[in-house]
Amino acid sequence: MSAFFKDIFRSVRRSMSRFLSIIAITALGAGVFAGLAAVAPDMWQTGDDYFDRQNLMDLRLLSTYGFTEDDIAQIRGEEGVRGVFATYSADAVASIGGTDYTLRLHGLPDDPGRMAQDDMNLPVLVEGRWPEKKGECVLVKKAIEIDSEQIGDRIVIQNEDGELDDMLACMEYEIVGFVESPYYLSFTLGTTDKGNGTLYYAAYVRQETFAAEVYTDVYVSIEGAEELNSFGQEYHDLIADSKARLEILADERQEVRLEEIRQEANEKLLDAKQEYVEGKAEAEEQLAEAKAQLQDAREQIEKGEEKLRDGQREYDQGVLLLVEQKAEYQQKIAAAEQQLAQSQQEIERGRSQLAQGKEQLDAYEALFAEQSAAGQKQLEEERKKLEGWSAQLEKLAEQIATAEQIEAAGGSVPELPAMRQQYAEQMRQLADAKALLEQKTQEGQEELAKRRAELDAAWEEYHTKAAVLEAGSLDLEKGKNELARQKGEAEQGFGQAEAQLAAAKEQLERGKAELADAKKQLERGEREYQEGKVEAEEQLADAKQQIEDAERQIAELAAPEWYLLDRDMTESIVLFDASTERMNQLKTVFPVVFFLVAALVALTTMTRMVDEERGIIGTYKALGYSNVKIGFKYLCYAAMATILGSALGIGLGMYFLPKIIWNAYGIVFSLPKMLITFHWGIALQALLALLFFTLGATYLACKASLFEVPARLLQPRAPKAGKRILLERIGLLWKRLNFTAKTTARNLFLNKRRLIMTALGVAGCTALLVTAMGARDSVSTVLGDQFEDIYRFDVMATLAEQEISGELLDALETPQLFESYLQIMNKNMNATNQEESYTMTAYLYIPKQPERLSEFVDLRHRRDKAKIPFGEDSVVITEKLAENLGLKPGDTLRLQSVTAPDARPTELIVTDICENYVFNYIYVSPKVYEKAAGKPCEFTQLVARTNPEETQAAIQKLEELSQQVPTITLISDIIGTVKGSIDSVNIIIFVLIILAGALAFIVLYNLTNINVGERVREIATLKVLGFRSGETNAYIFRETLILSMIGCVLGLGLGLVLYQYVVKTVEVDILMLGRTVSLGGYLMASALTMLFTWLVSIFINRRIRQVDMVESLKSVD
Amino acid sequence: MAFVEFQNVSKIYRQGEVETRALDGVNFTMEQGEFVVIVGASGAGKTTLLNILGGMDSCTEGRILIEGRDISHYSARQLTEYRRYDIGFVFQFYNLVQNLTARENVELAAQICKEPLPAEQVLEQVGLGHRMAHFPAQLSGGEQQRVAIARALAKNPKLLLCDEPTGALDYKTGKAILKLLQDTCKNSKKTVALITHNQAFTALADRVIQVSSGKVTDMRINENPMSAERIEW
Repeated sequence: MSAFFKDIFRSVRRSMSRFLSIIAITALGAGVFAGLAAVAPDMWQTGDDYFDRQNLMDLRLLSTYGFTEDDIAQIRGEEGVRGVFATYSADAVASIGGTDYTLRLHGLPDDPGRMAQDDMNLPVLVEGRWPEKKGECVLVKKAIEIDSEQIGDRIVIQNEDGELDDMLACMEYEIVGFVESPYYLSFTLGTTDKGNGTLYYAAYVRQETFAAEVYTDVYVSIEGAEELNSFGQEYHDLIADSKARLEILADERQEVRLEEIRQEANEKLLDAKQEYVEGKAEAEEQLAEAKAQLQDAREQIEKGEEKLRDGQREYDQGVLLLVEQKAEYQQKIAAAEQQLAQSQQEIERGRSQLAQGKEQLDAYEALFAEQSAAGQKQLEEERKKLEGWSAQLEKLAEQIATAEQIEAAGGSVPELPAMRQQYAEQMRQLADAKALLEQKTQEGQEELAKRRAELDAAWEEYHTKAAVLEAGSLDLEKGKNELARQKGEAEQGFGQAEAQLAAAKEQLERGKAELADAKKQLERGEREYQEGKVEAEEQLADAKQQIEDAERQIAELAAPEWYLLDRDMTESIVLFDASTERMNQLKTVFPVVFFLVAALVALTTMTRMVDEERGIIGTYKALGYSNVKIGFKYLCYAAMATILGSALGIGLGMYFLPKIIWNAYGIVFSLPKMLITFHWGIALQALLALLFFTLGATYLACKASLFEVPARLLQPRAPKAGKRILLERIGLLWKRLNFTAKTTARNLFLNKRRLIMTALGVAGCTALLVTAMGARDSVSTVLGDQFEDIYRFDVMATLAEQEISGELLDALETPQLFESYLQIMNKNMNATNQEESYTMTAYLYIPKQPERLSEFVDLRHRRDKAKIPFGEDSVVITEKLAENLGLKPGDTLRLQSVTAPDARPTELIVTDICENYVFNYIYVSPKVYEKAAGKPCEFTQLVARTNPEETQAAIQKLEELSQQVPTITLISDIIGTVKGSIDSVNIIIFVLIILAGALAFIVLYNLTNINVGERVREIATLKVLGFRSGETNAYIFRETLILSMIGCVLGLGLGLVLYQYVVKTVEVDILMLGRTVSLGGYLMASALTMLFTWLVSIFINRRIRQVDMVESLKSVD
Repeated sequence: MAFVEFQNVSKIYRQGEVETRALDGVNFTMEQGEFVVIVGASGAGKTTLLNILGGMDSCTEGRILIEGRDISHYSARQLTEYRRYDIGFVFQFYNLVQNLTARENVELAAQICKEPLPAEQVLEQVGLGHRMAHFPAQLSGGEQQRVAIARALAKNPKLLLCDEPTGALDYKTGKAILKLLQDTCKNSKKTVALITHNQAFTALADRVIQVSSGKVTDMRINENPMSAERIEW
């Protein structure tokens, strides 16, 4: 190796930090450029590889009438067609876990694991297994996972009117796995004619799940397309060719198919007509039969009624008879009983007469006995009296006898004569009384006998009578017994009769009930008959109408239309391509800053180097080396550093940047691992660009010195003279500065290149940091402004019916659960301007009560946050929509249904533009919309604000009412999802911070390093003068600090511009990122810039510390 | 007590196995207010001596007493304070800050001292009162050195160290500078140590210290120093 080259290498070794700073800045520039430039090719490559691997169709054919086997065979036979996969797809509303979603079902190749030529659009199984039978499906895993569907969950297709009957054979599916599909890359799956127009889920099922007669979809791959990159021009050309050929085929097939359909339809029509006639006859026959049957039934009922009436009559008679008999019997019995009673009474009377008689007789007897006794006694008494009289007489007689004796005896008794007379008289009276008594006794005895005889005769009569009475009593007993027997018999008879009657009655009742039933049946039958008749008539009328319609349709039958959709008409792929293209645009802006800074770094560094090596240059010149050769040394030096740096930067940048950006895109796209390719072209571009900048700078640096004469070069270069700067002319200000500040100010302006380099480098750093902070702000803007400030509701729900009623109304009106709610119409629409220069999807959002919209959505201008009034005539669109469509208030917005692209568009005059970040909305008052669209609004959604204390309970309540609110979306869930995706943004922020730090570090280190190198002598002098290390550092570093601050301030402005550029380049249609950076973001960016400056100061302080004071003693060389 | 006293001061540089004795047991003293000339050939060790005396380096062995304070074991920080308050330094190549005017260069030193002399006064003193606002590049070598001296003096140091102050100057200017230094010493009673290879300057000195091969070979007091105007070389 020549000494010249040895010198180069030694220069490198001696000035390692200088060499390294060029390496670092070129590495940074090359890395950023190569990395950003490689992103798009890598993304396209990865996408294309993914498409090839999953055999994504090149063309998707749809037809208004489907495809027949014939069509398929024809397509297959077409030139350039490589593979054909005929399959089905169907859109539906499906319920998963009680919530309704829009869903598209796709047919899956029989063996999805096999990669046959004809098996196209193969999804990648990421979890679970493939469907093995009908009723199983795999669900497309979306890039943003909001939902918690799991394997084993059931999907129930809603098929209320049987509209899907001839499409699907199965209405309930079990999720058996999750897939990612090249056809559904993005987290928005596209539009559908079901639900609110946004396709929410896509699922793959086995082909046999479909019941359709014709294929709905045909996927076609083109010969030679796989080898080409799908995003390249060649591919497009190839596909365009094939498409053109297929379009010719399409025209043919459309005609054929039309004929077929017409024929088929005519056949069907004939059949239908036949059927109609048959049907009509049959219906009539059936109706007649039914009528006859009804007539029979009616007759039978009448018969039954008659019979029943007879039975009733008989029964009534029976009852009457029984009553009569009973009465008669009662009468008889009563008579008999009366008789008996009479007899009894008579007997009783007889008895009592008898007893009376007996009593009388007994009294008579007693009287008789008494009388006879009394008579006897009388007689006795009289006898006794007589005896007493006789006894007296005897005494008288004795006395006479005594008196006679005495007289006889001589006495003389004067009275004897009276006595004798008396006696004699008495004796005669006595005799008379005795005769009379005798007579009386005789008479008494005679009387007694006579009465005795009479009494005895009475007794006889009594006894006779008693005997007769006894006989009568006996007869009475007999009569009584007879009556009792007769009574018993009669009652038994009556009982039987009554039982018979009861049975008869029961039978009658039963008969009646049966008859009533029969009548009811008859009535029903009649009603049914009437209904059936009406229905049959209607059906027949319908059928007739249908036949007529069909006839007309056949007459008017349009040719089937084939739609040939290539990959560029697939929403996901277009979105992916557009995103990639956006990334591709970034590759021009970012690196410019880095390249400029690299050039400036190279310029200052090389200038310093050339200055340092003046003597050596002089020596070379003196030795006779040519300018070119000497210059070559420095170019070599710079080139070596640049090549090394670029190689390093390209390697790192091309590997990491695409990866990081890919990961960030993973938020919105579900993509396979990125394929990192080394792009030689980009590498070469990066290297050449950097070489151009650094070598150009080196040339400029050398030029001056090289053209000086050697003699002067050998002399030490006069130190750069101190100069008065502009600032000094402002005496007032200048005087106020302390002199270190003056020094700093002079030093700053002494070397303008360094000033520019540092300011630009630091500005670049700050700008990157502002961009990073802006990105972070954007996320919080979306989270905060959108979901907390703009959305003022926390629940969205779809309504099963437009009327809120029943339990739902109760729940919503319960202040403990909900603060308020509003019914809205929410529909996905294609929005465009009058020129139709740009179309994007947006939600048409119509509040039922326009004046209440502001309670739920804070319509405001972004800049001044001024409220936008919303009234009867308002049409307010969101900012992103206005921006993309170029609409201002007063302009016309054109809305097109996503499901009926051919329908007449609705035109609305925009009245205002509001702040919004996520999705696009068109807020319209119902009045305006109904007028413009000419149809009524359908308020099938609900937004509500729950009571913050009871949100949980409110949500639970809504979930319980899933019949009325099939879908519930919580804002908090969305916030969770957005938060979840921040990580990827954080990586980008992190990368930006690293790049910014590296930029600041390299520039500041380089600057200060040169400053220190240039001012070693000054530093040593200061040290010798007794400056403390802090003072020395401050003296040197103050300049860096001020340059940093200048750069920082510049960078804040630049950062906003860069941020806005990046945001506009990167953001997707449905998202508007914040357009401004918050004060906190600026502060943070400034703080980080200063932190990097401070970090550099730590390194530089060490350098300063290492400066030897002895340097101050050395001569100037 | 001497103002400055070196006792057996050695400075040994080790480079791997090789040991170089830049100073080898140096002994000398200086008295307050003396004009001292340290003289020696190139490589004799006089610069090392200057470095150590000026607090820019420390010795390996021995004691250095400045007004009785031993600075030989001072830390870097203490040495900085020593340089700051006690030493004024005049360099061979002036070492002015190019981006500062004459006055500012003086102020640069003055601002860090406790009792600095006013910059204007010092500059007047060195005869540059009329060129205070000039940048070094606009001044001649002699003028620059005057500014350097003014800078050293403004610090009001105890010891003024001058390293070959005339080395980069022409004869006439050199003489003027020597005169300035001598006058300064006389008028302000400052101890001035002048390091030179030029034996002719010894005539100016109150005290001459002869250095040779890292040793002080001679130290003598010059009873009748000559005036700077009169010396020739």
